[in-house]
Amino acid sequence: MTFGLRLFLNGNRGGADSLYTRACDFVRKREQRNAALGLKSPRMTGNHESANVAPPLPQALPQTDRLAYSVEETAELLGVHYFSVYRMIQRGNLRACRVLRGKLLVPRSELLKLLKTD
Amino acid sequence: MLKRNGQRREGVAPPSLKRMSDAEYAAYFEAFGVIKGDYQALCLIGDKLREVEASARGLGSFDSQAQGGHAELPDSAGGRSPWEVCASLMRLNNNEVFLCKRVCEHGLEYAVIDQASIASAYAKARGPLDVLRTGDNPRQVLRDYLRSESETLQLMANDITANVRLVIAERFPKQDLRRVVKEITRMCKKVARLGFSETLTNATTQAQKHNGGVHV
Repeated sequence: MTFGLRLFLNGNRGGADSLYTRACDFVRKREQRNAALGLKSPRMTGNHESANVAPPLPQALPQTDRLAYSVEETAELLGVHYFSVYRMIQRGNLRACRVLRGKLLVPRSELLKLLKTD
Repeated sequence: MLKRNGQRREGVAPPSLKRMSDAEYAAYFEAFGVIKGDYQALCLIGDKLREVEASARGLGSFDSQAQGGHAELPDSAGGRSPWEVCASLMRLNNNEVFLCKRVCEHGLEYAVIDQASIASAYAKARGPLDVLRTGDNPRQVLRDYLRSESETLQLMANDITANVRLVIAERFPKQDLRRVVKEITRMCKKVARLGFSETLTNATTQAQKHNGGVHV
């Protein structure tokens, strides 16, 4: 919880049923319920890691704002010949989409899916 | 060869493009310059597949290679015997495609396998071997593989022509250059077409002639 929000909640504390107490109760109850169900709690830990943080990217994919890659770029990232990428698309192992003028682009999400190790 | 304005024309225009305007010539060479590498790769892969096709007709060369070579590819699925390499069908930088065989409970099993470099990100995630086709008849396996590769070549050719359309639309806006796109598309499709598909088409045409006579 941020310092500002805590201040706001503490400042508005006005008795047993204050907003802060109710928020704490809610969090505590949710943690108890998650513990009973064997689920990981999404609360922030000491080093500010959250359970909702995305898993680490495969090393082949750089951290960029790109949403999609051309077939040649995909091949470079995968370390294969680009004919193999066309083959993957043809066989349905890798989903690609057609953009302007029919050019094939591979979404970043599909690449991540392909590189995800089970 | 000189242009209409007397300047020397660079490069050789395709003979099928008659009476091209200067804008069409410029667009053709500009677009072809962009896709040149891809077009050469398309030609190379097409030629290699045609070689495989020619060898598959006889299968003799594959048998002789199979007797000589004893390289093995381990099967990623546990508990199964490794693939014995019969022949290398195609090699493309990091990837090599093999015709392999192994003994299974109902006899010999054949497969076409694409092997990626072990160091590649794909191999690390999915394993280096990608089994493309399997079967107990090597001719059928190769035929199915070639049919599938022909479709992949068509996909690659379509992507190249899409690039051409993009380049022309970006660099020559508001000009009617459909003839240039059409010509490059025709070239790519010609290269991507494998012989067996022509044979199939001929066979279909002949069958139609035999069965239904002339269709108007």
